[in-house]
Amino acid sequence: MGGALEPRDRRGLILPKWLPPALLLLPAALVFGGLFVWPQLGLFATSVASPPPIGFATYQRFLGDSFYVAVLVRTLSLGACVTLVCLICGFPLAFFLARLESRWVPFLIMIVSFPLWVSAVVRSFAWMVLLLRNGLVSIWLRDAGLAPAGFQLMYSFAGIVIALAQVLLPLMVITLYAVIKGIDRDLENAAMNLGASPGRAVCLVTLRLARGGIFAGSLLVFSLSISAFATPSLVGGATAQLMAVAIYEQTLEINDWPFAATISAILLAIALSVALVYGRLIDGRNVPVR
Amino acid sequence: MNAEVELRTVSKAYGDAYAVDRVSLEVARGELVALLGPSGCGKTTTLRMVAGFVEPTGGAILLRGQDVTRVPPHRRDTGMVFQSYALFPHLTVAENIAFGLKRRGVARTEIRSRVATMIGLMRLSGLEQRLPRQLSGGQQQRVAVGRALVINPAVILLDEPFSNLDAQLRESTREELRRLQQELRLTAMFVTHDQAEAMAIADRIAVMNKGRIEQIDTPAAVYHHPRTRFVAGFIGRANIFDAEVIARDPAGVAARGPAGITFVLPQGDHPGRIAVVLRPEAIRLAAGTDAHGPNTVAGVVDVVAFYGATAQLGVKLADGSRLLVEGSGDLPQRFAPGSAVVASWAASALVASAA
Repeated sequence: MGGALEPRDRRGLILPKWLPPALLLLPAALVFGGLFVWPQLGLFATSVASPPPIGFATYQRFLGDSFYVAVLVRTLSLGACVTLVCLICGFPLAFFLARLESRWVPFLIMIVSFPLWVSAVVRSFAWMVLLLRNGLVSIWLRDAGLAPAGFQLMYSFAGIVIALAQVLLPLMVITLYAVIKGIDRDLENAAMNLGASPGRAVCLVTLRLARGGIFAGSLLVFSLSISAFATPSLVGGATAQLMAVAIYEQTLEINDWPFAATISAILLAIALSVALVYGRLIDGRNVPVR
Repeated sequence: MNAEVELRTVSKAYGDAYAVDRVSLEVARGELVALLGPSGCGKTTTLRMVAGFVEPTGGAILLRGQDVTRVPPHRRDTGMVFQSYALFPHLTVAENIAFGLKRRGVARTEIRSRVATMIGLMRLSGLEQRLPRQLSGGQQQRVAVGRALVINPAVILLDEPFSNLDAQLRESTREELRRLQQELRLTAMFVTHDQAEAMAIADRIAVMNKGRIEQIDTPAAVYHHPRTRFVAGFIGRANIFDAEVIARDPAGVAARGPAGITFVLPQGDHPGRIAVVLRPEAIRLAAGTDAHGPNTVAGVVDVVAFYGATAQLGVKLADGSRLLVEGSGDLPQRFAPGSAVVASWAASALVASAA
């Protein structure tokens, strides 16, 4: 009987239910664990070891020093500003691309992702050319009467926001594009049919349903801007008193590793809590797309 | 003019291709007009032009006598039921139904009472606080209809509203919708590719093909007097023969068809080449081999299908073509496959349409 063989063959292939997903996750888990979690734990251990064996002197130093608290606040507001700029510029663009019925869409998305193709240093030098006192943007602003003589965006907080928003915008646009594309266009049509103007239809329907994408994109942009180093230091110069710059100084210039570890632990903790709070705020009602 | 909706030679072209080609149509108050046709015939595009989602490239659309051709969708007085229902997934049943009233700035207490009335009318009581994904397909469909009805639009537009329901639910839902439409004297346009559905609930059917309306008439008229070959073939089952007019006199028109059939049709203004339409249920069968005279043909039964109350027979003719015959359920007992039969029909059962 052929049938008698079958169960044994099948039994030979049966795996515990957890094994396939575990195997699939293994490569990523190994890389992530070995190259991120483990060093991060080491870093954390370093930060809580002054004075040894367990001490929080570096944390007291950071939180007690108004300079470093200001650095923290500046870093977080930079993250917030860049995220806001990326959202305001990115949503309309992503919406336009998602609703465009054209075979040029993949090409347009490629153009949107252009800033990611250029190295941070080259891109920052380009911004320098534009934002310096004799740069195009500064000259235009002065000629238009929008800025006083001698004005420049270079070495300013606004300059850093502009340069960071430019490189992080593609991440926001691509994240939002994927989400908006998944929202049935007839939902907007239905809203308009019921009397909502096109703008209100997008606000009342699309924007609500794109919450997941807005959250993911914001988180991506926020975490990358608060940890950015090259662009802020090049465009911001001395004004770039930011967490990443402070970590760099403590590690490579002052050689105070415990303090550098403390700064990075605080940055990570704050980034994670911002993510949690923001996630709660934006995800009022858990709504699956479509 | 008492037409609630009027389309005047409305066209929609994409480049050189016409999705909708000079469609003219009037829907009177309280009338349900079905746009019927195969996929790609332009029926949905026509409906979407009435709603304002698609801008016509030619012609004019009037709602209650007002030209709304260039009016954006949110200022048009239409209520649309989408094929996918397009219920707002983040809003409850009550919020979905209240959506249009809120946009119109209706007072909060009035919104509450009108939503409650609609919930009762659509048999959704107890489901007010559910989200669309927590509803069955039939319930979702009723929310979609209720959401469109509550704003009292000039016309209700239904885009294949039953296609996402299973067969049994589809029939009861469409009867319910028809009853509602008649009770509330709603003006409605309704898109479907299902001719039985259109026949069952429409006051008039606009049969569309390749962007044009081929015929617009009552269900009985499109069935019994199809004006074109396409309409005859699309509505119900039909035997369609190419025939050539060979004689005309005051009593009728004679035309020669395939398999040696001579058709005699009632008097009419027919061109030389015509398509003769003969409905399967208009054919009588008798045992025998000799077909004498016009409107008869001999053949051999080759396929039998029994449906209970009715049955269908395929009769193979001399030229190899097959005549479809429909009759009562005892037909298969009387004519087994292989039996020789003579089919005949009344002249009045024949309709000539454009070849």
